[in-house]
Amino acid sequence: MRSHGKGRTDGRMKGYILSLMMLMLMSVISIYAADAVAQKQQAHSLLQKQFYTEKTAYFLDDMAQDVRYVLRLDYPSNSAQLVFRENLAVNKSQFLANYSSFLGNFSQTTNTNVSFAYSDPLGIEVSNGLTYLSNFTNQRVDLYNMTGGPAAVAAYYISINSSQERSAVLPISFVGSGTYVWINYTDLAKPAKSFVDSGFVDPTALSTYEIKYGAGRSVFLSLGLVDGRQNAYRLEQSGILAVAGHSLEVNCTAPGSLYAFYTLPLNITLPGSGFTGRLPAR
Amino acid sequence: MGIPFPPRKPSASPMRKGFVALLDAITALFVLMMFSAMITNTLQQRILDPQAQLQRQGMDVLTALERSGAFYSPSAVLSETGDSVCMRLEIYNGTSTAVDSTSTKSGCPSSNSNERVVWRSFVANGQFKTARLAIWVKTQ
Repeated sequence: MRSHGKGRTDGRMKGYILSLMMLMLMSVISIYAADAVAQKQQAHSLLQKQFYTEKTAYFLDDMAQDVRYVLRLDYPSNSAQLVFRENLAVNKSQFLANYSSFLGNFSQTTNTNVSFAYSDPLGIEVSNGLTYLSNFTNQRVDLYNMTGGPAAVAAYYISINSSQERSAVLPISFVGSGTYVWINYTDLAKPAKSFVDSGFVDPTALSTYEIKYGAGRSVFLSLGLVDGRQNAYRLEQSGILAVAGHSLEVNCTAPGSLYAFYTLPLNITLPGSGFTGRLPAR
Repeated sequence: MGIPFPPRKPSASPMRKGFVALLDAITALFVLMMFSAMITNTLQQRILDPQAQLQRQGMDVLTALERSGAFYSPSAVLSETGDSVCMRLEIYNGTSTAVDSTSTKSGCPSSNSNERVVWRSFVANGQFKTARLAIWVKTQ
């Protein structure tokens, strides 16, 4: 009888251990399954957010490509170089007003909401402090350091394509050292009255280059100390709209990973995301 | 004489024991397989739905078209998009409904009931234009 009772106890014990093992196995599988599902949901949520961000980036890129039609910034392979290009003959105020109206209709089509503010001049601000401003009203282009110090530029390469025929040129008196300047001018005359000039200017003194188109009609290039800003650049048209293509390439003294924005404050609302800030120039 | 022992309950036969053990094993196996199937099914589900992936590809194509200035001759770009997708590009003047041009990827039908649409604006000769790209998975 004693041995029979012991056998029964052993059997219960075995059953108990077996049940416990089954419960443990089920628990492990349940935890694993719950964890896998949670990870999956997290990954889905992250990817969804990433997709919304991509859509916002796509929209910003779309806008930037459109605005580049009137003013563009390119970074060549060397990040120390920045190239600002524009057609001064294009009325940027008119272009951007039309663009704003166009975007209003485009937004309805694409189920987005876009608004941006624009006032002349249109500009590009670079992360190293350089600011390029194109003022259509005054027919003037400026480049300077917005933080107040001298512009961090070692060389200016200026290309001007004029839609008029020049008469005379009053060149800069270059100096022995300073900021390097290279000017490439082409105009409408056949053959074009082109010229290339280069040399150094003193970044702490004003140097001017005047291209004349007749009495009271000139294009002025100012370099160095312009409006109290050192090592700055200005192109100004007086009495004539001669400059069509204008390209200003600058070699920055402090290269690095530069980024830039148009002076266009934006507010974009997309399904699932949005953006408030300035339009990236690149 | 004494009180007789009550009749002993007969112990379970080996066949009955084996049947219970088999039932137990089958139940455990069934539960295990069910869990495995659930986990496998969950893990194999696509994280981003195919429609979103199509839209992403459409955005890439329109970006490439704008950067290469090829909105009016897009066949070279469209043909590089792989055999599994079809596309149709429509260019509108401004945001009007008047179509400037339509191009369909070579080897694809002109439309599909499951097409996904992506938009992009661009400037051509100073005029604002709208590009509409319809993209869908090619059916054999």
